[in-house]
Amino acid sequence: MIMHNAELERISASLAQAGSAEEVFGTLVGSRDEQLEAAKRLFRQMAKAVHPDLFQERSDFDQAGAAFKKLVYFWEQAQTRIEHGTYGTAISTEEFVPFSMRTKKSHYAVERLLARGDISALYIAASLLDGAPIKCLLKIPVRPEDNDLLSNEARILTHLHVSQDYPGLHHFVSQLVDSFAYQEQASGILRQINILSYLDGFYSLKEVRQVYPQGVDPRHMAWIWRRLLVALGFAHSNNVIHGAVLPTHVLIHPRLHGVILIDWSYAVLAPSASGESISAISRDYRDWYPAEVFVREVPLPGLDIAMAARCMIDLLGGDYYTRAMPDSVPWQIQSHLKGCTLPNPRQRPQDARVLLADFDALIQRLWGGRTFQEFSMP
Amino acid sequence: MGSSSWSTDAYEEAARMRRAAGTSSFAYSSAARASGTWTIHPALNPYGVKFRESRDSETHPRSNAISVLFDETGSMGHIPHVFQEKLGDLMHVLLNRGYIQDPQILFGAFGDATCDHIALQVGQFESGVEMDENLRNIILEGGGGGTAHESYELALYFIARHTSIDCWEKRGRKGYLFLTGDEMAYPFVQQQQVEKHLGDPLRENIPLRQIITEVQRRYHLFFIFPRNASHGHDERIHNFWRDLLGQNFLFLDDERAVSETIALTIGLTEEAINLAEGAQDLSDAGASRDAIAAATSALQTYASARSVVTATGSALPGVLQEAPDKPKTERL
Repeated sequence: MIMHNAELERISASLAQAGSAEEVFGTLVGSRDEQLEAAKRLFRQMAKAVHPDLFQERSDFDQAGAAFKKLVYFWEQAQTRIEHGTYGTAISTEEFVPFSMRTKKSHYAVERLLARGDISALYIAASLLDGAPIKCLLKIPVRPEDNDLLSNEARILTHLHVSQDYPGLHHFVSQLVDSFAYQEQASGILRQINILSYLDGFYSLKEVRQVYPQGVDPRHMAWIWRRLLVALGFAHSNNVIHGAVLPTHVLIHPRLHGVILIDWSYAVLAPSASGESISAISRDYRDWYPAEVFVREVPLPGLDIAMAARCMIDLLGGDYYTRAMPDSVPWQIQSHLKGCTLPNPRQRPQDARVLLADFDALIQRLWGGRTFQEFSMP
Repeated sequence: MGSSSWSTDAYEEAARMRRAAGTSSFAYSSAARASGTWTIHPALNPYGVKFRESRDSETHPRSNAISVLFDETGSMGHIPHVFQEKLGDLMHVLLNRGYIQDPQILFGAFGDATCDHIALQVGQFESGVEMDENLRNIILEGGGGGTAHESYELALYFIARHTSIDCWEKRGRKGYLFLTGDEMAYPFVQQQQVEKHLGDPLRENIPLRQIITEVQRRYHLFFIFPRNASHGHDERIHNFWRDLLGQNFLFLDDERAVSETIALTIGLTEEAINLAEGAQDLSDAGASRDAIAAATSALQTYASARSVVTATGSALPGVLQEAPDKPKTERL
């Protein structure tokens, strides 16, 4: 009994000091399942020591209750972070104080920080849409100077939203829930915030490549490429060029074979009439951009196609820059992707829908009829 | 720049000294006109200027950049003279009404870079009497080429590439640019003109729309069109600007109400006031009934179409306060 007591003291003290799950469960290594398993073991050990049932009718019953509650809180936090791959990253160790925002349209209760993108910090928030509770994603620019990029994303997504083919194709692009300027009372800083539908169970192509360092099977690349072309065909037929089709901006759902093109901050609308050109790029991916971007040529649909094809080359375990692909990739697919990434923008395919038909014909010859390929992420 | 503080005393003192010295309010322009030597005042010369800066300071911790550039060519008739006189009121109208915190104002004027001696004159962002001096030192050449085009695009280029403003860089708040004139812009920012008047080597011409988009990234851009100018009723020109700027194209029925119109536009955009409150403010300040009517009618369309949805609240979490050393986006 005395031993239990000391154990309770020790665990409650450490829980009281902890600001995050990482401080409770420490460094976790291995795949998500392995991390989850290790954290679960620790959780069980501690739960056994502090469970209030053990302390019934004792003076430290309340202490045990409080410690157990805290432990469960951090255990849940650890699970979500492990699932989202953010456990142990710098951002998740910062203490997070929930906050909320009210706009003319709705109220957003921000629950936690999910990730930090190129421009923005991404938070998960709870809200109501037409009376029903929804989970959404708050995109807040870290630097107020990037407000224009967020405004641009809202402009582009609104444009796509009112298009005729939106109802049938909306799930291929980010869905804008709300967009507003938020002013911090004390500092006078203004931030343009976009609220997007939250996407559960998706992974970026960057994450996929990390899990499959040798590249994925070409049959998996095929379903991703086909859907990415649908997304691009949708944007292009509505006069939008995405302008930043990069591994961080293509999300896939392994089980459902979903593909979503996100981050429309860099996109241009009707460039041949408006004279808009790509005015900002993602610094980490500077050499993924075709040369015409840097001389600010009027962007053509082939820009997106070339960047998307580079993502596929990378996904196959190839080199996005030299366009070299592993020998295991059928030569027909290699040439198809190389044809999309020709340096001269005018030599590249410009119509994603035609390209999709070409690709379908190609894989039909190569593999026969299409079959569903089970894909998994650990 | 923008360090000194505006006070009516300082302005009156400067005016008294000018009177004592027997110089007119617009001595520089008059002298240039009389002598026929068109030399831009050194304080207004844009050549070789890296940035005109609007910066926060101890006395102006929340600076907001406001620039006003007007067409000084012949087609504008007497209007540039009215502007030169009336824009001096802008600062106190803004301060008295409390529409915007710590305004810093830059004045400038432009002509026709294809034929005028002086294509562009731009002062500094100032909070004090210096801006009034800048305004008075603007030469009103009164040229222009008779083509219904002036070099608006050169003025836009300067604001896009040669200004650096804390309101945007530190607080994500756009500055203001008011262009006023009665003609159309040329379709391109010309490489040779930029080289000649500003000293920038430019690889190629820049399309007008592109430079407007660049300006709009950091500025609320408005075009104020004085109806009493020569082309005041030319619909082709109205449509030209309306097509480019939509609701931000404003008519000015009475050029003497230019400062009131600008102040009201800022007040509306900052959501400090609605149109009725703005009109009341002007009336309280002693503006004439005509000036009020002119200013509010100019803004009727803008006020009804504008929709800036803004939520206000407490500071956002820490992750947003520490910007990464190197931005992850690169501007081209």
